[in-house]
Amino acid sequence: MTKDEIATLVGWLGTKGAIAGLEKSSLTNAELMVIAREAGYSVDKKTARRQIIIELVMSDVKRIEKSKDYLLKMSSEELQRYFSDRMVSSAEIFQLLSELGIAPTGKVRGKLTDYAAREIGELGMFERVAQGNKANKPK
Amino acid sequence: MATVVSFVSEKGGVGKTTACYHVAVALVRYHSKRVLVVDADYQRGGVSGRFFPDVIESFASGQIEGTTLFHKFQQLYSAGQQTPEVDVRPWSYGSTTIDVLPADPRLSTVTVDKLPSSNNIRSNNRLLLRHLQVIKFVLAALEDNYDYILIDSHPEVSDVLRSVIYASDYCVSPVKLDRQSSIGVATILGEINNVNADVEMIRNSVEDFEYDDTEFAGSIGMMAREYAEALKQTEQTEYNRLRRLGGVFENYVTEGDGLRQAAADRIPVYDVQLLNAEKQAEQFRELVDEFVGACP
Repeated sequence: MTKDEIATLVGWLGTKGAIAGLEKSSLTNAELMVIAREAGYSVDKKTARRQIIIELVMSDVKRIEKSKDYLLKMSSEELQRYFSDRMVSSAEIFQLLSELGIAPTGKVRGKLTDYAAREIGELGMFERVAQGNKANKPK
Repeated sequence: MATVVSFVSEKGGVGKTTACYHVAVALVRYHSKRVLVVDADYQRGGVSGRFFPDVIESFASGQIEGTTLFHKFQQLYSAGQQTPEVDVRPWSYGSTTIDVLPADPRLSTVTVDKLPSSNNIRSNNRLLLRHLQVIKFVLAALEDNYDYILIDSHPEVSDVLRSVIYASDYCVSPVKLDRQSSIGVATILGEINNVNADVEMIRNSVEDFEYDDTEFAGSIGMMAREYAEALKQTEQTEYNRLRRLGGVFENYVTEGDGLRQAAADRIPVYDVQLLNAEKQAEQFRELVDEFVGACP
């Protein structure tokens, strides 16, 4: 299977369908890894099967498609769901955090999505408070 | 005409008084400015006590001599004639001289609820405006004597604080670089926006007059902690957050014994002979250089 064939699969089944299909497919992890490397993604022996498939399927999809301003209006819980539903990668979360001036410490390892959702949610809340009463006006 | 700058935060213990005191001394000593410090902190009167230790006791007993801002609000409540005169007390240390309008704990009783009300909306709004204008009215009579008027305030959103914001050309918000303190900056920014919006509404509907919006000049990092001459990572994150929240001064002041010793001796940190004090003194000098640019 090639990267182009995976793109066709995504066209037929959508991203979630393609991921589910590839997970159940007879392609071995080694074969998936070869396709990923040929397509230029950095995966290694430790990368989980599902993560390789997500990289292959989602690489052409802009996973964070909302603007930063929009994300800052979302609550931490909404952000958590959004990052999870969109299968946002760690690299993208790091990039987003960097653009917002948020520097995660090593302690967030393994909890990056939770950390990002909390920090961005709170940053948005602070910015709303800073607007004064006009932030509370009914829309 | 003086530039009026208030030191505000809705959070206590973040270094408002320390910052106000050291900025005032540095403006006089290193920038040859004439400075008046107004203490509007009715909860502690911290900066008054820093200049005049005797105020600490009279503040605690509630026996404040002379005419203070409190009397000016009282004039409004009693529908008496508004006069701007207040008793300013000169402080000097070496060749540094600063005038101070001391705190008055009775300012805690100031509230717009004491204004006489009527069933006329325009009249009520005019009185609310007068309440907002009390401190500015007092300072207008003094400002030709100074280059800077610095106002130290209490950590609470109140009708006194709104009058402080109205009187200020700029507000700065000293802050400890932690999440709990940062929210004090956000709340203050919100209140500055509220005051500006209220004034705009009154100007458009009741009475037109000259008014430039109060500007937020930035947060000032206080009691910061460093690792290898840079902010610790968690504090850097808060610093970045503040940068998005209306801006932050690039210079900050680190935590340390220099300021503690200065407070104990009731002298500016610039005059404390300690290694750590030298570092903090230098940080304050750099901060005040930036302050003069941010609040011209």
